[in-house]
Amino acid sequence: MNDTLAFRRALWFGLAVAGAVALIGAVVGGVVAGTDGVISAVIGGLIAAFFTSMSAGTVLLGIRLTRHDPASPLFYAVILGGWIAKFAVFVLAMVLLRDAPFVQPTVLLICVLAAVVLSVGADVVAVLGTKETYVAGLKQAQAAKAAPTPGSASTEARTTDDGGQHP
Amino acid sequence: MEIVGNLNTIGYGLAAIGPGIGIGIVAGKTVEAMARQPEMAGTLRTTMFLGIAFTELLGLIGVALFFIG
Repeated sequence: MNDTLAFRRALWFGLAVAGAVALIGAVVGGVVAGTDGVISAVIGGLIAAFFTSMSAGTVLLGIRLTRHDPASPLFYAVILGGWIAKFAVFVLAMVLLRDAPFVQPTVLLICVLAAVVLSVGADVVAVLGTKETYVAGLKQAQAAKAAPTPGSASTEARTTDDGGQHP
Repeated sequence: MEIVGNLNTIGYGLAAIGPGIGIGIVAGKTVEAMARQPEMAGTLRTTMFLGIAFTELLGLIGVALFFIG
């Protein structure tokens, strides 16, 4: 279905951006802080890749689990649960890495922030570059036309316009 | 009276207020819009994703600065 295309594109764009930041960060970190800088940049890129993939991945998982039913509470449970899980993992990673001897904190911080900010930019590019269709609306209108019921008139009116102001 | 503790904790607590309110508004308004116009659910969900991405970015910066800054 077309509504998953934007999320799949966001997922891949975000991962590509995180990889690019890890690569550039590894080169710069290697020059500035030696081996510790390279390791910190790669860890920063991995954390950002995890963050990005969880954002789009939980939406895709929610859509798949609810079988494209946007009214299902499971959809929001998956997205908001994934959000909490993501922060739990991030906090755990920070606790473990904060005092690790092979981590250069400044390089790690800059790489995480750069990758996450740029991956949000990649999300915007991915979403804006994807055309959304009103497939659900067409289906509802066709169903209403095929089998008119007392409630179908308002459904049909809503597909065409302005928020249910019709009688 | 002596106050002890880590200032970063207070900083993160303050930094979490905005994203917390923001993500609640994003999810709540999307549910409201889907209830009004169910046929727009696909488009709304995509736009909600962008809102969530921007909102959680602020939270992430707060957490990162809390630990590393």
